[in-house]
Amino acid sequence: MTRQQRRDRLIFLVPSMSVLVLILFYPLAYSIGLSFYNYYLPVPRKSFVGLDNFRYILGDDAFWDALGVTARFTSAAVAIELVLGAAVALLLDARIPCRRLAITAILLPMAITPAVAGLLMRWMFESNWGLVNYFLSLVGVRGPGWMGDPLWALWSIVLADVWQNTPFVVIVLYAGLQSIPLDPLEAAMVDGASRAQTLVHVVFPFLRPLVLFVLIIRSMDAFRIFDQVFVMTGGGPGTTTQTITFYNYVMAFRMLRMGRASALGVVTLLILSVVTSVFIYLLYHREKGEW
Amino acid sequence: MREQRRSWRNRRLVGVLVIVLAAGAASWLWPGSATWGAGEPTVRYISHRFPMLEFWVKKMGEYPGIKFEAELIPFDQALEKMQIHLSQGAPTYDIMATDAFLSTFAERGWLMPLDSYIDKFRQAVEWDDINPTLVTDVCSYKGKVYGVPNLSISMFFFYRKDLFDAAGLKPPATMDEWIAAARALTKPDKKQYGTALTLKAGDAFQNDFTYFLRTYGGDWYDKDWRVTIDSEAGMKALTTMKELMKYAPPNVLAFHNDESTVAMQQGLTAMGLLWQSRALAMDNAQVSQVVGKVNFAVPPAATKGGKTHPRLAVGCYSISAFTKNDPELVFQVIAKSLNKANMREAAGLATPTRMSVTREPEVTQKFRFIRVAADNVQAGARLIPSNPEFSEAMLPVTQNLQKGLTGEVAIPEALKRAQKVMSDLMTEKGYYKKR
Repeated sequence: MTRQQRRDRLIFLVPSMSVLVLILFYPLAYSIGLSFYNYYLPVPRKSFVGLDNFRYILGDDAFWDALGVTARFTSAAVAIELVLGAAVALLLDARIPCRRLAITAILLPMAITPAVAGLLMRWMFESNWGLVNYFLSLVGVRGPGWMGDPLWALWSIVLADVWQNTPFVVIVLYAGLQSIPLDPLEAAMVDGASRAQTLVHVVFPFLRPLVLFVLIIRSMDAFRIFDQVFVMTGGGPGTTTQTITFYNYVMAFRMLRMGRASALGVVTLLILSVVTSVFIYLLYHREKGEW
Repeated sequence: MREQRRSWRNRRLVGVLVIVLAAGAASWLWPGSATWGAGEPTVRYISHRFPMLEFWVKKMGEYPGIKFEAELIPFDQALEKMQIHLSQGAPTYDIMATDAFLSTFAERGWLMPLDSYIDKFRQAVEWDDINPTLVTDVCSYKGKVYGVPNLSISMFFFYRKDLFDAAGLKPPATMDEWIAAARALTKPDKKQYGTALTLKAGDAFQNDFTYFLRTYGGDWYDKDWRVTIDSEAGMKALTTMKELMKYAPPNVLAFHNDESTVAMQQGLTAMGLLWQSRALAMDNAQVSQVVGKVNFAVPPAATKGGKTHPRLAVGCYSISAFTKNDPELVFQVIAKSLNKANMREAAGLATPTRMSVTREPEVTQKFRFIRVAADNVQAGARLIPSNPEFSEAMLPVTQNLQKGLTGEVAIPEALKRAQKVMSDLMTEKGYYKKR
């Protein structure tokens, strides 16, 4: 490649890099910078306060509560999505009738924006007139107060997230199942392995990288959940569904503390980076002789 | 040579692409382009959503010669949007419904003083017919008028007269009577609950809590702006609310005004504290299951013969200091829309702010709760504090108070935490600095 060609290729990178700088790097740098200032939105003056905002966040009980809620939500939602997604993917792989129709129907929730999905779920989980409690009443079960009940509010958000995001898991794992080579499967059959043994010892090892990939992506997304919380519960009752992102929203746009909100954003970014790094290490851990 | 030609071709292609994109962007953004609404001026409006304001939006939309764009969203979000845009000096909104925060916005220089427009259009808009008390006490700041009063409402006690009569009950005059009546009328197997409450954290919870707190003799602040909710009155307020919750629908902690209204309308609840603007909805045959069955009363006092202090709200329409439209036009859109005929039509949704309309016998006879509205104010309905910190801290404060109702923490601890949130904010803002 000549120098001229290299330069020409760089020119083609300029538009996309400009967009990246504009929508990613600049806001990130600005936000990090702002986290060192005391900035109350209605008052234009900012004053440099060093690490005070970070000290406030780390000493704030509401932050640790929100982190706990986020961790509980993420682990519950992602676990259910993985198990359910894998089960549905296996079912689709078993060549059920109307498979294509089933795939289309399964993908529909993903096409809806999270805020609209949250609105749908809000009415479905409405305890007096919602569909969920209606169906429960048909089997003789009295549904709980869902979004108004501290024991169930977080579960209503989990179930809403499961409804919307399991299709992503299904589609990734289904694609993975489709790409498993036939030879090991046939060899297992010839060796007399049962279906369960084939699943555990042949299928899942092939799917492992994809499962980890889905785990990383879904964990990152679940950690940042906002729309469903905002629409369905508003962080309540009390703070039982106040996730870290919702708490960040309250700090920035209700209390108008932009400096602190930026510091909280930086802390969240650091937490997510650590968690993602661990997952990536697991995913790309170099075992002897293989990726 | 070939490579050089290819390289020039590539650069020309990139150059053409950049020019096309820039031209497209310029045509979109250039002042005077179609996007900038050459032709009729566009007047942009924002407020919280409830029936009276929806009515005014409809009427302003009928003003000739303008394009009217309205945003009606929940109270907390409307306030949030206004603060974000105004703090940046953005001309996004021309007309805003400024509730208790008019003085805060005026202090920050975000609102346009209206005195000169009132003088110029006094006769045309029949300004002197508007209740002067509302103008000077609520819609003015430091001697200047910053808003046009558009409504006055308070929270009533709504109750199902048919259920009360059948059970031999009278509308409760005290908190204990309210609890007893709610207990008597709770039949969960028949999907009937004694009382509605609006307990969703934020503005909704604050409405109910303020009533209970003040009726028990307390308040949010003392005269020196010290926060006083962690008090005997606060304790009684939360305890009573927790007791009433036993006779409310199971998801009452998620109830905002709309949910409480629907609960009453659909016969789910037998009584409750709701805004005056929701009264007409009870007799709307298209959606209500309880037409003609709901009556209204002054909310209960703490003890017999005591005072009651439900929420009172007076709304003002203000003009943004950053509007790009002609302020005289925007003022006329507001003031002429709030004319006598429209106020007469809307008298069922809120108490009119034009004195002539409130005195018309047809109005007071047609809307049976207008009398209760007047009684409510006499009995002690009051506005909420107007300092900006009250709104800013409302979500975290009420989240902590809610924890006392759910049992996550004991009521005294909930009050202590809620008070701390508000006090810390007041301290940070310099309210307690020694002069």
